[in-house]
Amino acid sequence: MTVTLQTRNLHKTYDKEVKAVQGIDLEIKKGEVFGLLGPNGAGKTTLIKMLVGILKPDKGEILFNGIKLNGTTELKGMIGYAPQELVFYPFLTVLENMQLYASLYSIKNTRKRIDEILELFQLTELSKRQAEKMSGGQKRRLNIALSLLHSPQILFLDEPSSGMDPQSRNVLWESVEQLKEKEGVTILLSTHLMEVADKLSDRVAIIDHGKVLTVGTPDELKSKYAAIETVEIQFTKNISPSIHKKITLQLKDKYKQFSTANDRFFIKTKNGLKAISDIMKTIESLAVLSYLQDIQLRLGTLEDVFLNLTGKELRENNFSFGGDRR
Amino acid sequence: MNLRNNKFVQLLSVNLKAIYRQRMVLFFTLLFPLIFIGVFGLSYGGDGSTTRTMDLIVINNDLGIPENTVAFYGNETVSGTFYSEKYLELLGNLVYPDSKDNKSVFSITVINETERDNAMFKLERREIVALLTLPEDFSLGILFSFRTQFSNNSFFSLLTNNWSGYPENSLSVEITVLGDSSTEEFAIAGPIINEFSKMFFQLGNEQQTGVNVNIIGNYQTKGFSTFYYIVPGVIIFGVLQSLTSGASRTMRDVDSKNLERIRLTRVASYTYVSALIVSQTLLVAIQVPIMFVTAMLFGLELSVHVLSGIIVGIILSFATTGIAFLLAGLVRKGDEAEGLANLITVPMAFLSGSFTVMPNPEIISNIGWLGGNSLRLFDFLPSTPAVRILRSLILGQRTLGENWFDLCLLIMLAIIYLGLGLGVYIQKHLRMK
Repeated sequence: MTVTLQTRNLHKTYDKEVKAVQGIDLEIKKGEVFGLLGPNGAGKTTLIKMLVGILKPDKGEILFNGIKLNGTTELKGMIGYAPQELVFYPFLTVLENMQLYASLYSIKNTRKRIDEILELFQLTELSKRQAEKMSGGQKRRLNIALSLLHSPQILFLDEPSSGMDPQSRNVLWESVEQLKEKEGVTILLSTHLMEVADKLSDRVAIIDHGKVLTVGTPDELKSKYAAIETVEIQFTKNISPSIHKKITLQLKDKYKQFSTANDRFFIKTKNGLKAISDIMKTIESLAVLSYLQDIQLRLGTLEDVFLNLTGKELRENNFSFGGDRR
Repeated sequence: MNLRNNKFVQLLSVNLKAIYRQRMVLFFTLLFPLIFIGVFGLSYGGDGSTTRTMDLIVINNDLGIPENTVAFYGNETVSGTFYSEKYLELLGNLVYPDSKDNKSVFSITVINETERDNAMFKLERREIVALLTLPEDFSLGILFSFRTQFSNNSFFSLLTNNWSGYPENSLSVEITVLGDSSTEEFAIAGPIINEFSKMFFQLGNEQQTGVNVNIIGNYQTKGFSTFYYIVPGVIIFGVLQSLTSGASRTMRDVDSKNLERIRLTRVASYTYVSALIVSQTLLVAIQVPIMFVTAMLFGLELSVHVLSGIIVGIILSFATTGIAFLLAGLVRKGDEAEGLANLITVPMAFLSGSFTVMPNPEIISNIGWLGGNSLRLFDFLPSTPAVRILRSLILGQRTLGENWFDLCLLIMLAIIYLGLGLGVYIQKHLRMK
């Protein structure tokens, strides 16, 4: 794979105080989906806005296909940008929005291209609907569709799934995967949702406080930074406090990385399957099997990677149970 | 040329659809000025029904015609203070031609110099519109006018060869009209008295038929109604109101981030701003005739001056668009631009003299000179020359050509504000930050 986009020591500070991006070096290869994973305020949007040419870096270089960029004009027509906000004209229909941007990009065979994009994002049926009257997921798809009209070489998706329900997300993922396969577009997507980064990205950069903490494929990162597996146990609600205490004491005694929250037990271990076998034996010996509601093994996730790298949760809520389960 | 693929046409179309499809915007843009004029029309009615007779007090200091002087009025010889009395009689006889009951323009009370303090008190309390003082040499002024114009006239020479008592040296009669220039009635009364006096002193031209009061009639006394005074100001205020919607429209794409997206397309900055300017101007170009038509429904007479007025409104709209861009270039969000626009619209209308005649204090007058005319601080507001032109067109029935100075000033200010506004706006919102 050849390098499409490269950044060298990129910096951006707002109002002389807020250091949004602090020396970012990245290489995005042709045809890959590159994920930028980080919490809100990590500097993802600022980085993307510098890459697309909306913001000017205070320091550093951006190279597109090996050529150093000095402004936006060189990139016009080559990049597609779907911002985090829903950016289109709400009072226009889907088709009118498409026609407007198609003309602004000087696209030839406008109608044919619009039809292709409408189909790709499953918007054909909605083409005559006023944009503001669509659902959140449909609006999000239109937002991305508009950035693809001109067949860009590289597409920037800033938090593409924010505010979407699971069903709409699936439609969006399908569209992005098709986009990669059919059009061979290089995609850079930013997200604070590890499921998104894990599912869609070929490679992921974990970013926090304007710095890249690590870069790699999701599997590489998980095996390097989240090798520990988590066993999650849940008992029924009618369990008595004395039995609860007895179980806690037994497990706490056996496992060093043990914690409880919301009536659940969490055990971190390098060998999850062996731990489950041992835990089941303990439960049977205590004769409390009838109280067991659920026992799961959770593999390391990108969230764990982030946690291990920064010492804090990726999401605002303390506990999340995403990732592969078995 | 395929218009569907033309960037300018597409952007213009979006701007117009934004107005058309957002009903509240459409309402406030088109219907609001109409209602506005309607309310003023109902209140001040241009049909003459609401015209009011204005109270004047006159101190007549005229010493009259020197004894043994043969003076004429038509073919008759006159004496004493005849001319000042005739002046006051004719001034008192002025009526609003369009009024239903031949309503007089002025109600005149003549007093002595000794009663001046009392008259001043009434003026201060706005019980009268103006205090007129006719000078001692009022009649002599008329005689001087006769002499300069008719001493070589053979017909006049048949009537008199006796120029005794007629002044030989240049004589300028000064009639003092005292009033409060910030009151609307004085703003109407002042020009009438001024115009009437000039006409009266030109009576020599009409020697054979005496003083011809019809000359005053040609001054279109219909325009003397309050509504005629108010219409230009309200129309300019209506155009200034578009400043708020303009500022908001100019910031719409900034707020919605469409501008960020547009910047990444192949659109040039000038194409984008041109579409905004044209849509905004088109809107005002529709607003202004609507306001004029509404004014006509309430009594404003259709004339070539109305068409000229529409042109003035459109030129002003370029300037207000420029100011809208300027405000948008100073802020980050649309509501800030709208707030600023709201903040300046009303003071701008007042300072331009849309509602009252502005006083002329030393500190703001004569701050510069342009084309032989002194400039006041207010003259740098584009609405000031626009109000003056409209008032001159509608109230004074003068042509655009006769208002060349204000017209040039307005065009110049429109170019300056538009250039300045675009420069600041492009720098702020269309360049990399």
